[in-house]
Amino acid sequence: MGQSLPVHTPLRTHVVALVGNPNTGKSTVFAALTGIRQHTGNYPGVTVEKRSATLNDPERNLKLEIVDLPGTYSLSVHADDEAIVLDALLGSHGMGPRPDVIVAIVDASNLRRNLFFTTQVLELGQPVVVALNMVDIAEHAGIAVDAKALAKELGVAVVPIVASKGEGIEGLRDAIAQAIVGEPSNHCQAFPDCVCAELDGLCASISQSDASGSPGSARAQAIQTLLAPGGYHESKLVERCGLGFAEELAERRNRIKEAGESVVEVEAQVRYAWIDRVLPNVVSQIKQSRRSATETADRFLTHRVFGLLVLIILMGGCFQSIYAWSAPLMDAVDASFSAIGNVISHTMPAGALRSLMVNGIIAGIGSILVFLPQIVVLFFFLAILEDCGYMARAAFLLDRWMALLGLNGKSFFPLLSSFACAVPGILAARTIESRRDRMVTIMIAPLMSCSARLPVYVLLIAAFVPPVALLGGIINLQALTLLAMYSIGAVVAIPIALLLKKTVLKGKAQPFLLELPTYKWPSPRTVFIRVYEQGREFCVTAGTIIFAVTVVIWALGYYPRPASIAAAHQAQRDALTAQFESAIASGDVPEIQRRELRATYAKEISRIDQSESGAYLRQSILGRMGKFFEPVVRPLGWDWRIGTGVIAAFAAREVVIGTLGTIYNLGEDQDETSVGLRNQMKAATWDDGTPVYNFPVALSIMVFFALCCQCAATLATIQRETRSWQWPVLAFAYMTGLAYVAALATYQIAIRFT
Amino acid sequence: MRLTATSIQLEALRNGENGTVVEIAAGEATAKRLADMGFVRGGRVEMLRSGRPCLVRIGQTCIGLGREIQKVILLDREDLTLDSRESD
Repeated sequence: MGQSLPVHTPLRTHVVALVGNPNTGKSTVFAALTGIRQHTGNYPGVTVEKRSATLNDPERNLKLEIVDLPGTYSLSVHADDEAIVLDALLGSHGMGPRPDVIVAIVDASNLRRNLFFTTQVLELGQPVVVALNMVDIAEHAGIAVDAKALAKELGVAVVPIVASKGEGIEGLRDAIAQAIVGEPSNHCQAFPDCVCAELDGLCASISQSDASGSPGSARAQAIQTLLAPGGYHESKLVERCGLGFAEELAERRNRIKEAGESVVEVEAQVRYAWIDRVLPNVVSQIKQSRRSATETADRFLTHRVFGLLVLIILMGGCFQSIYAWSAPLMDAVDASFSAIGNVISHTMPAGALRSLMVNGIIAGIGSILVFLPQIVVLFFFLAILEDCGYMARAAFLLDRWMALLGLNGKSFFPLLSSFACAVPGILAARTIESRRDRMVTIMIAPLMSCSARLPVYVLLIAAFVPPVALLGGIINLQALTLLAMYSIGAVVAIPIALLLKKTVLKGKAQPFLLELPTYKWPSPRTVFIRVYEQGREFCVTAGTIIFAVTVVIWALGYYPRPASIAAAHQAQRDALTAQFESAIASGDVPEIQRRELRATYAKEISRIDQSESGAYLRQSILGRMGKFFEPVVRPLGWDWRIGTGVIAAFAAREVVIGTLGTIYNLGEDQDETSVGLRNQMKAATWDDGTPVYNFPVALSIMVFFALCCQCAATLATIQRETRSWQWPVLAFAYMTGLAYVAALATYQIAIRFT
Repeated sequence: MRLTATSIQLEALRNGENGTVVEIAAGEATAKRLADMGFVRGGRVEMLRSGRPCLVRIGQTCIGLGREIQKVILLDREDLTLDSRESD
């Protein structure tokens, strides 16, 4: 160690990979090393997020690229996420360069299990630094770890750190700098002779097929292939080397079995035996072991009744706060964007550019930012729950209930978040390791009734659902309808989840196996970074799409602009102005009457303006689309105006109210409580004079909005998270189909009962 | 509940009882995963909260295990101990 290579170009970027078990504080170490300069991408072909950050270390004359790899208990794996770890560490094809240094992060309070993975990493033949994290928690639990003794046993540098407080990070940087110029680790576990012979033989076969790998990498691949039957590396190598390789593997495994060893257990037996031999030299019990605080808390918090009760109260509190804290901020965002729009309306000359600014760009940015407060508060709670270790308890408690729905305990938070907004819900699904469960969760998350649906329900319920008291006044029909709209998506999600698991997401269920980490105080730094990161991600992913689609919808609703409409309305305005001026010109009109005339004039002018924008919209591309699709939406009880509003709402469902406002000549600044819009809708009639809207129509519109995927941001997020177009297309198709069929059934049944 | 002459399923343990792993009677993928997490022959497992899923301690780790897994972890029938803390 510490031996300098003679030729060392100082500013080559050195790649440093962070690895470790789950719950070892790996992300916290990553954040402590890099700050918030990281960027996220994806590994090719898999849906695994690649987090990396480049940083300059002028003090040590180094440029480092730090890569945070997914947490895993072992290098031999079956899941996608974990599978990339060995590939990334070996610098396999498409995984980027082989790291110059591997930093293995180890939980000092749980050394035995953590060292299993560490010994696997030490055998890769690369320079390794062990970061002994959470030494404070270990000491609190009465465990003292002798870092020097551990370094001697492992043959690499061991740096004690407390990443959440930033302690020991400088020492870790030093150790990384030294490891870059140091020797690769030459740690090697002694397998029983019969296994060794087979491993050596397999090493030779692997080296033959892939001459580029180092001896260490061939041995690691041999272990992870030979001793993990049916695993990821086996299928990868069989694909590369052909079926002859599969036969070779089977023969070698048979010989191991004949020699009396268990193929799947031998690696664990060898490594744990070594660890158990070494641990007494490294770990000392400084305090009498007593029941830890975590265990005491868990006696209560994982209790089937009390634990669930605490969980429900906690969730209720979180959601209450999400609405309470974000509501004023959302109002403020809303108000400021309307104000900006107003200022521009009054300063810019009328025309396409002004309309684009006000109704396209400003409205677009506003509709993104209005959701940001809610999302930030939501992420704040989730980050705290995750960082303190409670999330795993919640997953534990809810697993048996979620299993009834064909889901996993970890699907609960993403789905719950989706009641605020599906975008953070889909992002939160990243914590689900099983790919199949994660995909199902992502696909049903948009069915949860998000907050953008609420205004539609409020408007239609207030206008068309009679406030009839039911069950002797316990609940009225309006409240019942709202409740039904809120639950319909979640109820429908159950059969959809089961169906997805039987069709496009077939596969074996992953058995539930979840570590409950030691409780700790959430680190403000970790929480801040997570909230910042996800907030930024929302703005970038969802924001750009909402923005782009808002502009497109604006254009569809704005063009074409035939001169005849302008001319007709200008003539009306001119006539009105002339009339007003002649009325006011005669000198003997009293002041009171003048004021009245002026007010009437202003009102009439704005009525003409609104009628003009309504006329434009009706013949715009959007309006024509609405008319074109009228035969399609007619069986749902809708006229072309509702159809137009619904088409506009495919970008973002909340725009429907503004669009309906324009269609009914009320101007765009209508909201769900506007009496004007309500009355106009009530007054709207078909050609034969029968009213368009009634209870069945209102129900069918609400059911459609409850189930339809009218949110470009959600689809963009699904695309980004799954790295494929197949899933967003499927989500859009099944939800739109479902919404149509359900709205049709609702209307057709409801008209027969009213 | 499957009992053989010498082994007992983890599922059968009551809160506070612990035992020694004698066999993982699972498919290769699950067996490998469990072995790597420390469920190896000779390892001690303590039941913290029985049920589905159950909560066990192995070494310094608390792990929640689903029903399928509780059935495949077999413990030595002769070597079960009742935790003194729970016996009162």
